[in-house]
Formats: sequence, C-alpha cells, structure tokens
Amino acid sequence: MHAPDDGARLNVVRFSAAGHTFAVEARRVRAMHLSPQPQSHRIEDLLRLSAPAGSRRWLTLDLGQGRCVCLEVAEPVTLDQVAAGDVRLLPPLVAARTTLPALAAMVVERDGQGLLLLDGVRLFSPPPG
Amino acid sequence: MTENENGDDLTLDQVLAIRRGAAGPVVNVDEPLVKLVVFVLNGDWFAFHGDRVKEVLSDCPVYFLPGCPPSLEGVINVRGDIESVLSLRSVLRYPPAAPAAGSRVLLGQGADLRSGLRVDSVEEVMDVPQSLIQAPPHTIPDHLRPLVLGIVAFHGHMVTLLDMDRLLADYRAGAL
Repeated sequence: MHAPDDGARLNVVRFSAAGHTFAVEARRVRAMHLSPQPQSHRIEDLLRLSAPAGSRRWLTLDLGQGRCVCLEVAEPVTLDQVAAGDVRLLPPLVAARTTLPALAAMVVERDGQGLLLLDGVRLFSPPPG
Repeated sequence: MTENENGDDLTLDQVLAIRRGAAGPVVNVDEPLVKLVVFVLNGDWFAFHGDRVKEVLSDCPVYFLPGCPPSLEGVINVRGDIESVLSLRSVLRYPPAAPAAGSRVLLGQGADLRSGLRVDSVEEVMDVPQSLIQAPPHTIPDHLRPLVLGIVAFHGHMVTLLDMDRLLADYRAGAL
C-alpha cells in the first residue's frame, strides 16, 4: 500500500462524454476497438448526459468474475497516469446529490481542468432501490 | 439643547441619558458576544454564525460537474482540497443571477459537512450581544422557517440568521 503522496500513480484510460473528461481504471480495460461492437453501451446513456458527438471508440471492460461489457465512448481516448496524491474524494454534498452513481472521485489537473474518475463496476450496476 | 422641559439647565445625568439614548440600547459588556458573517442575497440580508464560516473566498474558478442539481454550481480547489459550491440563491429559492463581481464564496462547515456557499456580497463580520438576536418572526416564508435561528437589526436592515448545520444537513438529505 502506498501513501497518496509517495509518488504512486494510478493508470487510467481517459475518454470524453458530453464535453467532459472521464476516466476508468486501466486495469478494467481489456481492449479498445475502432469499430462498433455488438451489445455496447453508450457512456452518455449510462450517465444520462446529452447526446454523443464526434468520433467514437469502444472499450471492452472487465468487471471481474468473468463478466465483460463493451462501453462506447467519445474520442480522444488515451492511456494515462495520474498521481495518486492528486485523486480527491468527492465532496460529501456532491456525493450525496450527484445523479452519476458511478462517479467515484476526481482529479483537478495542473491546468485547472477536472478529470472525473468512474467506477467501472458501478457503471453497470443497477441503481439502488 | 441646554434646558429641560421646565426651563432649567440640564443636569449631567440628563445629558448622559440623552447621550445613551442617541447611542442606542445599553449593552451589558459582560454579555456574551456572537460573531456573525453578514451577507446579502437578492437585496435581503442574512448571516451565519462566524464559527460556521471558515473562510470567505473571492475570485475562485468553479469547475462545473455534470449530473448535479442546478443549485450545486460545481467544485472549487481550495489549496488542494476540493469543495462543493452551492448557490445559496438557488437553495433559498431566489431567482437565478449570474455571479456578480462582488460575489463571494463562504466556506461553511456544520453537521460534519463542509461546502462553499455563493452569496451576492459579504457586508460585515461583526460581534453582537446574544440578547440582540430575536426570535424569528411569523412572517418568514415556510420554506425558510426551518433554517432560521433568529433575526438581528444591523445598519437599518433586518438580518436573518441562518442555521448552517441544518442547511448543509438538509441539502445532503435532498430536502433543499
């Protein structure tokens, strides 16, 4: 286990959705496809955001226990690292009121932009209740 | 004025009584003082207890978050800590307005929660005797009633003292 500020880094796959930059843990991403995949799920539909635009990519996510799903996202899609010390828990009022149940944390990057970290498993879990 | 009603010269006691009257109510200096942060929303004056306002922030860029209610403007970076920012206008059901140059973000804390609260302007941070805080009047709108601790007169305005703990807890619970 690393302390958040000891130089540890988190591998993520970044992508866009509705004009925002999101990411999932890279360990969940098994493959990226350049063409539509059967039974894929659009990220905008899962997050209930506005309609997709621009070039698309398809990520195969490994949710564990042998379950894989395909997630359609918008370009640019990049493999990246973020410093573990830059990952921030959601403020409690955001965590309580957000309609994005898979939103797990965020990173405020050096340029002031935000990177929204999604929990890949929760993205495909049925909403509570 | 140098004479009283009977045409006599004023006594020192009379002069002092007049001076005290001009200075407003007599304050017991031993009475506990309460620090208030006074701010304005849509022309109405409000306050929070000073111990519930950690900081007053100006000119802090807000990062918009998708999937949040309109009353939650987004988040700000306060020296590396990410804090939510609520539009107090929206929470208290005032009409929306673009943040003006004088708007400030109060970094509030209460009920084990912390959040920024955008207000139109901050007018004063002051100490008032506890006894000057009066019970809330019956004319307070129903939606504000649970949040109001009392009222206090300040510079010719009636200042509504809000309960930070209740506000943050109710917001988290979705009641606001």
